[in-house]
Amino acid sequence: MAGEKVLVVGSGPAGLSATKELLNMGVDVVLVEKESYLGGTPKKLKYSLLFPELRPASEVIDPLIKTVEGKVKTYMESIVEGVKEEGNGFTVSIKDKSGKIQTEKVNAIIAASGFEHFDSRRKYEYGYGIIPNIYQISDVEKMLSENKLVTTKGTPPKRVAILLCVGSRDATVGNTYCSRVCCAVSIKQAMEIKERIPDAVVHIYYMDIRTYGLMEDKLYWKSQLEYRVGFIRGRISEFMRGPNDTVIIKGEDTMNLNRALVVPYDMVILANGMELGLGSKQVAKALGLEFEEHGFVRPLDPDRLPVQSTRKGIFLAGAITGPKTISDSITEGYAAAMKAYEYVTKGVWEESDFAKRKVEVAHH
Amino acid sequence: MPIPELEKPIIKGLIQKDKVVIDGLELDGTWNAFMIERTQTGYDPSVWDEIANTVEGNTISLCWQCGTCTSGCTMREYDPKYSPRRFIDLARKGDKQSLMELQDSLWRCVSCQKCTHRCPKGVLVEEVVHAIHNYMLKHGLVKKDPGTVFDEIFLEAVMKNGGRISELVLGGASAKAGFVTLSIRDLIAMSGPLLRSGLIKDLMKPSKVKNWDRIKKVLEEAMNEEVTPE
Repeated sequence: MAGEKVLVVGSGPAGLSATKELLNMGVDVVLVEKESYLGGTPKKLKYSLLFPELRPASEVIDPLIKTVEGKVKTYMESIVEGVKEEGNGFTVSIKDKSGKIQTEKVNAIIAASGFEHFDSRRKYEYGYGIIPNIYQISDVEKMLSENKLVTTKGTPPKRVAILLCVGSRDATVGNTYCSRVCCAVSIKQAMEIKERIPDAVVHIYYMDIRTYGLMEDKLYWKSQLEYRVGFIRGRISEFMRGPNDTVIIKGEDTMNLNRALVVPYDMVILANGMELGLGSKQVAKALGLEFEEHGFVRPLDPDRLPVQSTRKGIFLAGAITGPKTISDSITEGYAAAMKAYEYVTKGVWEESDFAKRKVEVAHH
Repeated sequence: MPIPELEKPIIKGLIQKDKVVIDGLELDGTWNAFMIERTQTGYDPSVWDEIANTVEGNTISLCWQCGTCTSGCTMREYDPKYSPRRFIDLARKGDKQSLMELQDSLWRCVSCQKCTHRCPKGVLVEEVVHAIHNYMLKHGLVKKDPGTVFDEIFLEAVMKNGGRISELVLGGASAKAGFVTLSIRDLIAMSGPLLRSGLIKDLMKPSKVKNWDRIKKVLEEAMNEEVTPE
């Protein structure tokens, strides 16, 4: 079995865990990463604490990077330009920042190029990028990890509003799915803010709270019992600039139908969801993969074969197939590594006709 | 031709006061009518903190607004505005205005404890609702409700009459406070048996509890003691 080689695209939690497992099984790995560092989105956005255990993100990501760094052939600041089938493998052309193209012969490919956060500027009525003191959860992670959670006045915010489902569950931007992690991330951030600024008022505006599975008591209940984070049901419809760089929200408390809400806050955080992003779209195009109805990459069978793509020899891991938590992505990385190992050593490729079926989607 | 909108204000939330004093000046004429604010401009977070720091209200933070308490509530059949879930929600948000608007419902709990037994999160709903009501009373945000008035009359009668109630004093005070009491006809009907059995003596001059002077001190001390949760 000597000489088997697998290309891993992306070095986030999924890509790193897949690389690690393949190395452990004695398979050569070529890693392609668009950025100049390993670690993916958790490193790029400088994640502070991870839900639900509230442990530093570096505790999870750094060991993964350590086991991989320097042990595989890595193309940094490079992208996969194209793929040609050759024999029972692929010839991949990899383009670096300066435009230089190198080729690599591999037996299988794992696409783990992940997601990008929704850009809240597309919801113009929220005023992100125009009104000061409106941030996204993806900005706040960095502010928290660098301990610089301040308003434009340079003082810690005393009144904070967090709005959920920005760019998720919203037909006006074409995203009809739930991004799964934003509820948990927002509640985690609310608790982190209350931990640092105990006299701050934090309100979460929600439609549903989806701290699914084992996160219910650790996040949703705990935030109310121990931190007194306020939950107000209702989606804010617009933000206005108030005096002294405050942000005035306009909303409705749908739990107690009586009056419209016009409330000022020092800081507003938009819980922007997940999208496939341009990076992964380019990867999917270069590898010749199909998209499913939400814009993510379609697996061969979402239930039975979730880490196999619709193209033989290419495997998928992490948020490229839909919104996922870090632990989900790591699990999928392991699964994809195992499937790729079976494929390159024994040629195992299971078939399913699910992807070919015409799917009726409920349109809004 | 009369304009119906002007003759009969249909605007919800219009309040009229008999006497209005603003900046030391008493207003008269038509200036005594006000609109209740129609937008909510802020929540007072101190309400949640204060109620959660009382003995009765310290389970308020557990609530997750499922509505189990309200759907089985005894009182809700009689008063559709009576909703423990809503009281808890408003108190936690600090929406005092809405709680003030609900003051005719807020006091009506009959303490059947169905809500407390059914709550999936272990909120002591009955106690929490009383804590919310007590908060509103303490800060003068609601007028004294009939329940509280009767409690006070009852306690006063007990303390005055040596540890037990006197029906005459209690009846008189209740009538004075505007509660429905026995009619003259009922009193006449009752007086015959009372006179014949000799119970009239107890009614006119009720006997006291043994060692009342010492017990009274204990009771007064207990009532003045402020209890705070650990």
